Amino acid sequence: MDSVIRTLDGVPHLRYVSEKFQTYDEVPAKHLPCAFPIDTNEELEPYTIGDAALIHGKLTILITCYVFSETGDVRQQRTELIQEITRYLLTDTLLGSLILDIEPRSIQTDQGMIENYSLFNMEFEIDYVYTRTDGG
Amino acid sequence: MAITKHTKGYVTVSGTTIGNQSNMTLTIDGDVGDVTPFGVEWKEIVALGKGWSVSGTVYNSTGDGGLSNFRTEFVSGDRSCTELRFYETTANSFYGACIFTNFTYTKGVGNVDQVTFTAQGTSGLTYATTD
Repeated sequence: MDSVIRTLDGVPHLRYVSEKFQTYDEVPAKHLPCAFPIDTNEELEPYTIGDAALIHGKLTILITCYVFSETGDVRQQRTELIQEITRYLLTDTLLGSLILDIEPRSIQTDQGMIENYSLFNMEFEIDYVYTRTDGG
Repeated sequence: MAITKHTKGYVTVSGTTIGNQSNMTLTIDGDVGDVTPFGVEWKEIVALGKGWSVSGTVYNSTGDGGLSNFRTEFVSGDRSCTELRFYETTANSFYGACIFTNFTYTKGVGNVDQVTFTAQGTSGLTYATTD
């Protein structure tokens, strides 16, 4: 998760990244666009046999993002930010060296219900393995 | 407790462990012949030759030495192996000479690449216990 946050810190159009969740009206204007990543559910299963047997983990991470525009033109900002976050997470070398794979799974938006804002959640699934006796 | 499970055991090829093994199966067959005379009530069965084979699935890793040796046997080698060991625990094993009969490499969306293989025993099988 530390590596995910570090990667998001490098996304050019994000002005603020934090694990401490805030609602859109709590975020200062200077911090927008912003992202709040959090690790959610994780599925675990035995992966290999042997003395150093591995466990396979599928960790779902959720990134909540807020975009703001005084003119209400948030669609373009939102699209570019989604593309940028996805591109950075899927191509980061250090993150890639720690995991087997990361894939986008879903995007949910606020469907334009909040004027001048676009609020959306991006869900990614991270596949990784660890030695069973290490505990993850 | 002496019951064994997947956290112990693995397969080695010529002394090198194949990494990232997800399942392995050792099968020992014993053929039989029916020598029942005509009109007899109960069948008469005699034991014929025994044979053994090992099959398994591993997650592909380009840096794995055991899998690399195995791949080479198929691509440019003669597919023979002087010693394949099937460990049921860290120490107890079945072993013998074999010839590799199948090597299948599978890629699929959302999955780690897998290699499945089979080996057919070409000699008697020995069981060694040190546990």
